[in-house]
Amino acid sequence: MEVIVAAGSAGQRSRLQEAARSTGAAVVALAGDADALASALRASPEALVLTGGDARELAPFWRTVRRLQAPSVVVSDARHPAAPEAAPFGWLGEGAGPGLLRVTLEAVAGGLQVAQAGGGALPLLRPGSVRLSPREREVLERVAAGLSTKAIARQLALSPNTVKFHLRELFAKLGASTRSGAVVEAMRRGELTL
Amino acid sequence: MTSELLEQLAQAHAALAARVAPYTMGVVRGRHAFSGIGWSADTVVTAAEPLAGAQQVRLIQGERQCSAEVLAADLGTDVAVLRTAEPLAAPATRAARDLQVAEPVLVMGREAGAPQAALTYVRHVGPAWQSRRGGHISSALRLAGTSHPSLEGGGIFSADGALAAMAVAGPRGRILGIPLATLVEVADTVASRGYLPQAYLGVALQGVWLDHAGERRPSALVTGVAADSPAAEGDVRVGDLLLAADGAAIAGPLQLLRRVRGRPIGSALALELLRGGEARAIEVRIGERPRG
Repeated sequence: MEVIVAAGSAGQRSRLQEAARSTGAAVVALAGDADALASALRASPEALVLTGGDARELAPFWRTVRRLQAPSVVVSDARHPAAPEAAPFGWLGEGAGPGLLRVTLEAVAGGLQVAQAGGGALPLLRPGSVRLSPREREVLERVAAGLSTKAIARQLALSPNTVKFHLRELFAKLGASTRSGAVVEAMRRGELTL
Repeated sequence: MTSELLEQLAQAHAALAARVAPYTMGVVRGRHAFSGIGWSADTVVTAAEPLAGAQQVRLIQGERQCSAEVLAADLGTDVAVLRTAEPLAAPATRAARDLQVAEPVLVMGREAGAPQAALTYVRHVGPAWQSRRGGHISSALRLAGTSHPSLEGGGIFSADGALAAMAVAGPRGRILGIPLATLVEVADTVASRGYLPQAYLGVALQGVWLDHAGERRPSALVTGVAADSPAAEGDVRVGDLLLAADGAAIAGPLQLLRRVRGRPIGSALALELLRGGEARAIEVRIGERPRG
């Protein structure tokens, strides 16, 4: 099994690397920031991501893992996310031993979501997702088809600045920072056909 | 090796760099600088990732500068096509053959306007692969050594000065190559259509957990089917639970998206689904996303 270890501090990286090795997994890359993780995932698309730390350390790696839909195992005492993810992930407390880590890596590699008992359930749907307005939906459909801001403005008889305004609203509602990110998130939520 | 031979080799390297440098230019997006390759009189090929969704960039070659419009940026293959306001670079001569393992190559780009190069060799050549973002890449190409971010989008040239691939960033500064065949595929589509058609089925999906055949597994529930879409023609219905596409399990909307994006438009996709508790197999033809 191939594992990419991602953590901000060198100490955390070597702890996770050691833990991964003790399960018999092969560590193919060490990533110290989100960009390094993204490129490691591009080079080893089949690898699992092993990350950990407190909620703040974890945040950039978790965002990257979600954005790229990479299977991941998180070793952290932070609360695990309350939404189902399209990519499989496992969430273990920091006290988890090598045996637990090994079965979690295997389960996630097999496509399962895993959380330690007592860590809270994984509710089925993201609560309170924000609905898109009809106009935002029209803009999003065209973004998904690859139209530029100018082309969208022409088609919908709007000014480019109005289209940009709708795009900002869409990004905020979908928690995205790029056009492709917004499209993928909308598809994940069933707001946009794929 | 005698010093004359070394000198000849050094001169040959410098001559190769001088020969291919006119094919390259710097691409500047805000504070980010990377490279691009002259493709035709008015188009440039570069890497999609560092564009980060920008629609306008600046191109620099030496003292000359102009603006360029992003015609298409395909994150799947990491290939983007720009239209230049002025022809800054000469269209690169394209290689007539594939690169081989251990073959020396010159990675050529620009740090802002000034040429920069990395001399290396081909470390690995493998079969076609699908990127994490769903793009179909005609062959796997990895180079030895490490690179610099500004060489991303630069050309990978063989010793005869022909363009064989585009350099993109791998882990820890390693260099991956997007082969010429993939560049041609994306650039030709953009040239003939003016845009890059997006694969489309016309289904809206929601990830759900499903108890099926004695096991609990994630699946994707069809919550919408667009009228006149490939999914409607293939008789996908609201309420269907997708289990697999082309034999691979579908655990959620994004897995289907990746499957669909990795397949050419017009090809058939075999879907396995549950309808009213019964397993069914149907086939849909991947279409093109309507543009308004």
